[in-house]
Amino acid sequence: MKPFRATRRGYVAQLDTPERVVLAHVVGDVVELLQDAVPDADGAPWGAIEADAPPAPRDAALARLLPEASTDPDVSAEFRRLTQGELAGAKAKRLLAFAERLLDDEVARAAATGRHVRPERTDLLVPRDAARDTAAALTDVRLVLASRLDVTTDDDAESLYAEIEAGANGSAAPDADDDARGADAPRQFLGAVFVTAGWLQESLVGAMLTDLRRRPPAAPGRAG
Amino acid sequence: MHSITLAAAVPEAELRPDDAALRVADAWSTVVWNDPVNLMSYVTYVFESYFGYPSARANELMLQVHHEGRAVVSHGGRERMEVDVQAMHDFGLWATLQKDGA
Repeated sequence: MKPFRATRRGYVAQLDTPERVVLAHVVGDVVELLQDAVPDADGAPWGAIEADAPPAPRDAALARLLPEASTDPDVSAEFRRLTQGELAGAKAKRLLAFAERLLDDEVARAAATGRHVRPERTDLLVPRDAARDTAAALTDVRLVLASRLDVTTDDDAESLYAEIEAGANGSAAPDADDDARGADAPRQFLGAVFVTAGWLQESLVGAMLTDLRRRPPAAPGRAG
Repeated sequence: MHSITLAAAVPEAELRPDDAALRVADAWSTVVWNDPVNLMSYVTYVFESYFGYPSARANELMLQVHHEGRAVVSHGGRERMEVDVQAMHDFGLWATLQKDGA
């Protein structure tokens, strides 16, 4: 993998086929999580305002994607009623777009359908007008992974980075027996995806900030 | 989004946290909370691109979130702050709406 850099066409990173497939798979899981929680019930379009305030999500990862908007439960419930469908829909839509972008590659597409292919490293192009959504999708993926990995403090995140790095270098605790290593495999996997997504996001956002600051100051305001 | 008309109706400067005169009239704020996931560069990008803060101010607010656990990033009427909180959630930042003096 090579980090994003700014080009005339947009921001370009290089990903190996397995990296594309794994990341697209995890992105797809987050879409499912959102769609299960805020279902397109009765054919109502995304963004429909609920008649009653939906309950706060019980799943911790989902609760981080659709968080409380106030310490006042009434304010929070009203906010959820008005915005949760729209918010979940917007997140799902851009995550899907990102997954499609990751698989918009002949070899990656074949690999994703289980065909045996020779892995390749190819360009992943994110046009400038899709950069904000891509960076936000990477954040949502990382929020869900962090929740699954019990990362709730800055110290937890530091430990995770150290743990994944040690695992990647094969220097995991030497006295760990095979069973313990086996049990840690899912954690190592999710942790590696978390670190990789963070690394991709860091390079993308770095390039976006450089571009943003190069532009003449726009009229200040909430463009979003 | 309906924020466009609102933004046009209310000069942006009047919504800045530093504006003590308006703090009383605009009785709500948007608070962004620290989390262990969001990158410092991303939080800075959000503050710069969405609120239009100069990079020094965006960086200062980001560091405040990081070190103090939270920062007030905008002041205004409740509807305006609801728009800001929703936008922060859309970006993946955790924000809350807060009634000033509460």
